[in-house]
Amino acid sequence: MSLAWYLVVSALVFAIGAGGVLTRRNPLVVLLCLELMLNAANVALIGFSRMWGNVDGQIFAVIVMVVAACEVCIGLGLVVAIYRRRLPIDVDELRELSG
Amino acid sequence: QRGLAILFALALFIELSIAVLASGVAAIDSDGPTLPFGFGGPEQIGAAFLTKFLLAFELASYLLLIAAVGAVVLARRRGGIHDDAETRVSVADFLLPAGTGTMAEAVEGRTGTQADRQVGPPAGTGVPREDA
Repeated sequence: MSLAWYLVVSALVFAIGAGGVLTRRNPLVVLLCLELMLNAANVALIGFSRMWGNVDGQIFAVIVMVVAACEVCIGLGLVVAIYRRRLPIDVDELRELSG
Repeated sequence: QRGLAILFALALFIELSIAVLASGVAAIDSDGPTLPFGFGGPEQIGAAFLTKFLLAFELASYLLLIAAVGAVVLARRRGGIHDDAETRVSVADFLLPAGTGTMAEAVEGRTGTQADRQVGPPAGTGVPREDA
């Protein structure tokens, strides 16, 4: 499997995730699409790490996974807080920070 | 607006593919080098984390701690919970021993079960007190 396949898959998944983040209104689905983008970057990192025979790329991919987990954790906490305040769970409606 | 986003995603994919395939990255068409067995295996990743990338490892664990604390803070109820909880008593309230240290107790700052606390208005107001 040449490197090009890995990179094209990464680009495809990244583009799908980007389209999803821009299109969907449910914040949970937006978080899922964000995860798609981060994992696409991970695939690219792993591919390059294999190409150069260097384990640094894989370490970076693990750290990216940690960061993605933390961000989803906080995002879900935000969704729970929004739900408890009876606000609509709709990223189009929640435009302003105050009020 | 949905069509616009799909068009953007398609354009992004085409642009990324062009950038990747035409970038002239060396060995983009080869199958990669022959690597020693165990490349990228747990031993190598673990050794790298504990020697060369120790700072990243420690910072990642710190970030996870901050995220966990932040999530608990965000999903906390403020006030009001005791009025709601005391009207609904479940079996778990009587089965769990006092001060078990469940997450609900930690978040709400209480210990013991419902049965240990005075429920309802203070004595002398004429409303019967519910005992376990």
